[in-house]
Formats: sequence, C-alpha cells, structure tokens
Amino acid sequence: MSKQVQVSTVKKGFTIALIGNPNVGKTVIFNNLTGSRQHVANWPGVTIEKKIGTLKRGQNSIAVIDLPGIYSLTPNAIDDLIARNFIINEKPDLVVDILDASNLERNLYLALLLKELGINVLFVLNFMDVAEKRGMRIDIRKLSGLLNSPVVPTVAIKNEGINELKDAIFKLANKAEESKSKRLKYSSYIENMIDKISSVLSGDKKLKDKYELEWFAIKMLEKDEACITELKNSPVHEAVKSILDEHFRKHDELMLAEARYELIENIIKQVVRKGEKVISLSDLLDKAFLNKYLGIPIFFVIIWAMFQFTFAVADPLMTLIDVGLGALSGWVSSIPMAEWATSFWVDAIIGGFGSVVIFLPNIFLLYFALSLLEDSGYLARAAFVMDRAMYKLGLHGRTFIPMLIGFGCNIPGVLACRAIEKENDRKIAILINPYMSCGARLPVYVLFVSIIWPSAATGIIFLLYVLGIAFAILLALILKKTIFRGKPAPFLLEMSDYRPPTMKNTFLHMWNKGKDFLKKAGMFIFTFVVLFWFLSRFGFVPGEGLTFLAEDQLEYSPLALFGKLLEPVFVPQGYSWQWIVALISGFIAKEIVVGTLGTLYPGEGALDAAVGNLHPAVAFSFLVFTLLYLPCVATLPVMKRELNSWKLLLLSVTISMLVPYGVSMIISLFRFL
Amino acid sequence: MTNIKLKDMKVGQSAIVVKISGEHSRRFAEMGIVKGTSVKLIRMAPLGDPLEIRVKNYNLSLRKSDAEHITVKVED
Repeated sequence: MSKQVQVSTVKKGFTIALIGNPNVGKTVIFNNLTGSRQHVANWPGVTIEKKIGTLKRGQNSIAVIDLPGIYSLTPNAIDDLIARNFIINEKPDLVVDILDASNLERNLYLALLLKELGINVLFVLNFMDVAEKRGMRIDIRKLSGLLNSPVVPTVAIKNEGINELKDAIFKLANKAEESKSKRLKYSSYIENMIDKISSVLSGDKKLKDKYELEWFAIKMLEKDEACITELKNSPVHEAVKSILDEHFRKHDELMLAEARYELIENIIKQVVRKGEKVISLSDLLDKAFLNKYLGIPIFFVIIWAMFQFTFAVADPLMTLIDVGLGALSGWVSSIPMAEWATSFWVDAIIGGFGSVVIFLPNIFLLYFALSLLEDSGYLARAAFVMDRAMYKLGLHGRTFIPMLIGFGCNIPGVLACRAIEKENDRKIAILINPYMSCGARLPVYVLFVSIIWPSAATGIIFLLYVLGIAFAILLALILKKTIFRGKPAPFLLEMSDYRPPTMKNTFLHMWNKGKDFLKKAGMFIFTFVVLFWFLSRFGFVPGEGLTFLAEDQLEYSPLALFGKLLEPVFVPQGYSWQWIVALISGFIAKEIVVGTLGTLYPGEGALDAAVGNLHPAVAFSFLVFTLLYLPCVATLPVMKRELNSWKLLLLSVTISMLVPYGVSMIISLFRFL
Repeated sequence: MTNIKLKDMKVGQSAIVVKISGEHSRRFAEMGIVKGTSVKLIRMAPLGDPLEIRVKNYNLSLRKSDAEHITVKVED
C-alpha cells in the first residue's frame, strides 16, 4: 500500500473527467473513486445521463464527471460530441482515460486523440489481471514515457490500484502550475502539414483563444464537420482551404486514423510482450451463445428468464405492498372521521402513494436484471443475434428487449430503452413501447372476452397483442421515415469479452435508478391520483349542492359530467358515458377500467349484462381502444424523462388519442353491417 | 492474391484491408479497420447478418450492408 499523498493545496473546484471506450470498467472506477457520493443528471438537450460524483480525501474534494463511453471524438456521434465539447468548453483540470489493458490497440486510439487536445491526461490501465492471464506483459514505465503522461495499472473490480490512482490524481491536483502535456508526433509529412495549417490558423485570434491550434489543424486534415463549419466565418478560411485542397489531391481524410494506428502498432511493439494464444472462456461461450442453431433459442431462454425474474419475483413483493397498504387503509378507515376524510386518506393519499410504490419491485428488479445482462456482456450478443430481424422492421437490434418487457409493464419497458445507444433508435423504441399490451390491460380483455367470446377467448386476446405489435412496427416505420429521418449510423458493435458482473456495482446501479424513478416520477403520479380523486368524488347533487359523493352518486362527479359531455364524440363508437368514464379512469392504471365499470353498473350481474348487451363489434372496438390509448399516468413522466422532450411526449399523447379513436370507430362501425 | 469485399469472406478466413469507401469510412477507420490491417471473419449471426470480425485484437460486429464498403485482399 502506498502512503497517502499530503494534500493541502487542491484548488477549489478542481474537476476531473473520466473517459474511456465502452466496457473498460469506467463505471466501476467511477464508483470506486466516488463511493455513494454521486448523482445523475442529463447532458443538456440529450437523454444521455451525466454522472457527477465527489472524490474526497481529508478536507479536499475533487469533482468527478463521468463522460459517455466512446471510441472516438467525432462530431457526428452524439456521445463523442458530448465528451469533446465538455473537454474543450468546460476545460476539466484533468482527464482520466481508462484503457483496457487486455485490448490496448484499439483503446490507445482514444488515448492519442486526447493527447492531441493538448490537455492533462492521466491513463489508467484497467483489467491488468485479464491481460496477465493472457500472458501479456506490459512495460508500464515505458508506456508512460511514450505517452508522456502518468499511467496507473488497476484491477478495478478487485479494488486493486485504486489507492494508487487516487494518489496520482491528488498529486496532479497539488501541482500549482498546470503543465500541458505534449501530443505524440506523426510522420514528417503530417507534422509539416500541421505546422503549415496551424501557423495560418494563428492569424485568427478568436480561434487561437478557443482551441489548441495544432488540434484544430489535425481536425482539418480529417475533414471534421464541426471544425470545417467553425472555420467558414474565419478570415483565414481561404488560406487554409488552399493548403487543404492541395493536400486532398493526393491524400484522403483517413490518413490521420491510419497514422494513429501505425503509431499504436509501434508503441505496442515496444511495451507489450504477447503471450501465447489461449482459447478464452469468452470464445467458448460465444461458440454456444452465437451458434447458428442454438443462438436464437438461447436468446429466448435468457430473455424469458429475465422476464420471469422481473415479474415473478416482483409479484409477491407487489402483493406484500398491496396487503400492507390494505392494512394501512383498514386501520385509517377504523379511525372515526367524516366519510370524505376517510376516503381522502384511503383513496387519495394512500392510493396515490400506492400507485408509486407498487411499481418499485418491478423497476428495481428490471434494473438489476438489465445491469447483469449488460455488465456480463450478453446484451451485445443479444443485439447481434436479433439485429437482422429487427433491422428489417426498421428497428435497432436492441429494441427487442424493451418491447418484450413492455408486455409486463410499459414503465420498465421504456426504462430498458436506455440500452440502445443511438438516440434516434432509442426514442423510437420509447415511443412504440406503450403499444406493447401491458399486464394491466389483460383484466379488461378477460372481462369482455369471457362474456362475449367464451369459446374464442385465447384467440381474441392473442389477436389484441398482435395488433399492438403491428401498430408499434407501423409507427416505428413512419417515425423513421419522418421525424427521425437522417443518415443511418453504421452498426458497429464491439463484442467485448464476457465478464462476471460484481454485485456491488449491480446493486449500486439498481439503487441509483430506482431512487431516480421515485424522485422524478413519484411526485407527479401522486399529485395526479389526488387530483383525480377530487374530480371523481365531489360534485353538485340536486337538492344537496356541492358535496362528497356517495357510491351511488358518482354520476354527479365532474368526471362523470365530462364523460357525458364526451358522449356525442363517441357516437360513432356507440359508447355510453359509463364506458367513457371507465376509459378516462383507466388513465390512472388500465386495470381500473374494470373497477370503474363495476361501480357505474352497481348491482349483482349488472355489469355482465351490460357487456353482454354490447354488439361484438362495439365490444371489440372498446378493447382495441383500451390497447392503443394513452398509457397509464405513471408511464407518461417516465417517457417524458427518457425522451427528454415535452414535444415528443405531446406527440405520443396525441397519437395515443387520435389513433385509438379512429381505429375503434372503424371497428365499431361494423355493427351496422 | 485477389481483392474481394469483406462481406464475401468465408468464415474463418483472414485477409488484409486494402480499401475503405462510403460515407462511414472514417468511423470504420477509427474502430481499427484501416488500410493494411488484417481482419478475420469469425462468424455470421444466426440469421446470416451481421458479421463478427476480429480486428486489432478485438471482436467487432458489423452489418453486411456496411461491410460492402470494405475491400480486402485474400490469399488465393
């Protein structure tokens, strides 16, 4: 163990940014450095999460920003751009780049890009144990010398090297003067070009203040879109252009990437002694998991297990919550107070609270399962296996999992879309998820089907599920052709080695996400349920005035009046106000549709008779309406949060009102045939 | 030695990258698919697409429609 570095002079607001390729253990290192002192926000304008933590030692604290996992710093990939803009605009005092020691070649590419920025970089060589197991010997000192930056070896999941990493960070933080690190040199031709271009660029004072000019020159040689746009208004634009025109007559924009990999090959030769090739466990697992015949069945078994885990384990917990809340309600009801007050406490307050907590088991377990799948490396395989089928439908390979989860509950379904990296693909996946028929819709189907089509029950219910999927796919295709048009990004997916996930990180992940749901969506849902209670339990009763409504007076509530008001709108569908009110109340939770109908058709067998009297076309249209209309109130804030856009949420809400209205109208018109 | 498209390689076959074209060429280059690098086709997905290749000492999967733009040189 190293002794702690004396710290007394860390400047206030000292900030470090963690960066690295995906799958290098960056999250684990972030957790190691910050412990539980972290919170999650979104990067401005996008749904990619920004994790901020604090590294503490004694009186000193350092802010730690977790940048997205990226391979490069190009301006046309959103994750890359976030990291690049953060480094250039926010100027963190130190960038900590985490490299996978067992996969140095590609990892060093980002390292070289960071060096080009002329910033202070500290390199972490993680997964040293994996590299050693493969017989690789890495000369750390030499690597540090070649990169001209400190290098710290770690095995983050075993907490090895973390104290040394903290020491190294504080040591750099203590340096009064920041010393800019030198980038690595490429071929004499390229260096000559960089010199030429940057000396011309230095004629633009604004550019000179904002950027490291050599970096900007390199970007010009790569035809970097953002830098080209930036240069358009510069006085030196023409001069740079003529140099570049000359250059691009003989060379292309890939020259720099080639030069970097050439340099990397050189570094590897000097610092890595390779061991003999061993067949890794990962290769063996892939032989089964990605097998031509077994790959798809295994995928379904794993996803089924995940589905079972999320919903089957949640089930008793939800029952427990239900029973607990029931007991609490019972206890409150036994306290003597006015009828409205009892109802307020039981239906509004406890009910509202219940609407939030009832989802917690599902959400926590889903995040647990997803975290396991992702950290173990299987999620990438799942996308590999499913990509072709989903691609044909205009969807990303990873959309399959959220869609499937949506059949249980749309909230975890929407949340699971996080696993889709491309923002547009993710937004499409979120927008189509509500049409996956969630478990709460099933009781409504069952009520109708058992009365009207007892012999074809399963078939009709299956048809409804298929209808939901068909509409989701149609919507995805339309979205892709309209608002999410644009260049399709290439599908480039790293198949990193399988790794055993650590419980500590899985739990931390689950805890942070669950807490986030409670904070962000909880209040909204609760408020809505309370508001809904007021609107359904108070009203003007003839002869009594404004009063709390008894069970048999519910038709006087504003909600019922609203339902009656809407009756003319639903003439084509042939829904009476009771059915409309039931649909409105289904917004709280779809299964409430059945309960509401029960209260609106009081008396033994009244509801069954009412359903039985419906024309089959009207009944089926009502079920299709239930399937396609607005997801429940708890889903909306989650969608808003994940879409990070009120506009898209509004679009979704509009679709979820117009489409079911239109489709149910067409179906119910068959009653006249 | 013959030049073929990466998507036409046989499973288990190795080759040297000779040319990358198309609008995503820079993205490929950044991921290590650069001129002169050796690539090996590890497998195809169960449904025939995407492909998994080994390049720069790691495994990468890409769609055939993207691999269309990569030309490689194979031993006859």
